[in-house]
Amino acid sequence: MPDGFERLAVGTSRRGFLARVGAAITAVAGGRTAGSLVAPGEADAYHFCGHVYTTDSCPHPTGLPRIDRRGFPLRAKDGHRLDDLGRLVDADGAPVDEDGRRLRDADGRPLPPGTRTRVCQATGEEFDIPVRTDGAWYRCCGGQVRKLVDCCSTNRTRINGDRALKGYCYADRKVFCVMYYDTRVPC
Amino acid sequence: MLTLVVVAAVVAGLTGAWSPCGFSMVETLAPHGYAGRRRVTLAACATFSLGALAGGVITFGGLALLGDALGAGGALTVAVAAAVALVAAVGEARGTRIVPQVRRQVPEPWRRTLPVPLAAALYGVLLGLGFTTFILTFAVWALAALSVALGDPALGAAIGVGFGLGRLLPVIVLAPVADSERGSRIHAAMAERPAILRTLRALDAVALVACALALGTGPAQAADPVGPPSATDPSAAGDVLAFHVPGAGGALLRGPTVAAEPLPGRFPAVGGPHVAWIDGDTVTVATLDGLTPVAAVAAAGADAVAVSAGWVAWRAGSSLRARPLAGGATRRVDRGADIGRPSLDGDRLVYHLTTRSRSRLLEANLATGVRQALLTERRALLLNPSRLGEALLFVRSTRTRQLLQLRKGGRERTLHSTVPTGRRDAGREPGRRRHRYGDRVPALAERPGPGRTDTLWTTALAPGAAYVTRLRATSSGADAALLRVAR
Repeated sequence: MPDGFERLAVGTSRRGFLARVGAAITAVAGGRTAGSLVAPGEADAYHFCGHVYTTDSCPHPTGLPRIDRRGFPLRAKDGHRLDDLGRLVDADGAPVDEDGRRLRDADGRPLPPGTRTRVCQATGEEFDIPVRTDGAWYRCCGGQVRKLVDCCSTNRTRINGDRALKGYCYADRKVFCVMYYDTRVPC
Repeated sequence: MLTLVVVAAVVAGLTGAWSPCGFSMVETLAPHGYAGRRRVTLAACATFSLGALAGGVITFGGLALLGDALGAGGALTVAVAAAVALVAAVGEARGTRIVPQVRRQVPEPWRRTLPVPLAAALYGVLLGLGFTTFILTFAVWALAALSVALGDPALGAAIGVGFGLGRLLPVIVLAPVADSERGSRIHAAMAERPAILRTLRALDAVALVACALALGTGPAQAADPVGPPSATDPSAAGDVLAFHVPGAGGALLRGPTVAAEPLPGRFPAVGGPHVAWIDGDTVTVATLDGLTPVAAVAAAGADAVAVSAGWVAWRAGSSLRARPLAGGATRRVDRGADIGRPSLDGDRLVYHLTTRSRSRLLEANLATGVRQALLTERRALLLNPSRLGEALLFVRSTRTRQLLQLRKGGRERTLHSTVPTGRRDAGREPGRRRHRYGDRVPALAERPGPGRTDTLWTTALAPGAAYVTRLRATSSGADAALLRVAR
């Protein structure tokens, strides 16, 4: 079940604002510290910094749903490009090892590239639902600005299997799963 | 499988509470004993728990690492582990006296000479290790054999945690209440009612049988190495297996007990009565019996070949070409920057073709010229098909698993599976936790070992077996192994 803040945010298109309002109300009522108001993204109940709700990640080749500015998957720990199999790939999409050398067979022939699909698009294909990315919200995470991106759908349930929330989605769409894009902007 | 062996390990650990050391631990950690105070008892329970868990992981994780280093995980070793589990289950069901037995106990003076929490931690390690004190169940031996045979360090560690958990639970539950009437009654029941221990041993038997059945009937079978080290690119015809050894050339195996027979070329293939190999810019086709040449085809740049009774086909750069052995012109079958190794069954040539948008398995009928897609997928790699009659063998690689698939009559089954090529993360950032889906947290895909990239690659299909090349890249270099899986 969504928590109280999430229920409060349902039906709006700007949950970040409402989340902070909710946090403020809770802080006053429950005696929370001012720190929680200025750093909502650091709440330790959620699975990556900046994401303050319980909707889970979109299916991503390596887990944490880090994407590039066009929505393609990146490895969370270092922003390296990935293909749909979770292999590191170079700028041409060819699979490489940790040192950037092309993966090859036993006789040195390069292994074939895999497909590379936008994470939200891959989610739609995997769950057979129409999806698109709509709005976003930015928070400060680990000293740099992070963009929180929703993969939206008209589906009534989210990836967790329970009721979908409005989040940053437009029109009649709701959040199916979440992704993030790390900018290089310090904060 | 994981759940079953962990349950078996927990029950085996619980059974250990009936050992001399198990009883002694309750006495030692009880508030009225050496602990002296309830606070010390609780601290000692905590350190005992950590020690027991560490001991279990050291023993069973270590045995699994040993198995991994010895190349365990093959069909034979898994069968042996299943047999050991069954034998142990029979022993448990009958309540047989444990042999071999370890007639040792933890050092008694520790509890008098060391701070009790420290002594408890050390006692915990010794009990968690499993083989340093009396053994109360054959399951300990069976789990040790299973750890070695499966050679999976993560599974071994999980067994260790389960065993440690089983060893620590009775102690930390009973020690704090040992002074109470209830605690005294429980202690007395453990000491005076053999039926409780018999029941636990029966549970051990059930858990071991379940493990043995899971080992014997798993959906994906284990794979055994075949051929010399680094063998790759298999091709099969009946009992004959051809393969390539990088740096050495092609070879034939005419049966499981026969030595490999070197061939005068590279990347050999067998099909029908023929064997073919690449020698420079020529593909040579010869008879399997006697290696008498029947054709030599100009094939500049060829790096993979397939042969059948009536055809020879090869890949050269981005082209697949074929020529009838009875005579006739060479024709181009298909082309693509990432076109796979060809495999022939009669007139039917199968191969993979991958692009940036999809992965396909294709079949070209060389007699009719008809070409069709057998399978098309996105976000997966379909690799290196082999055909034998209506059966099609290929590799399906996704972000969660690599599968050796056998497809026949529209139905597929997995003959062998392994970790994905890519290595996933924890699915959460450090210090955070994953989200629940209702009352559960979804399982994560198994990960390859750190710094290791495995790729299931070329395949071959024989009447009784399937073959696949496993490429392995590590920081120290790349290697290959040819694996055989029973069909």
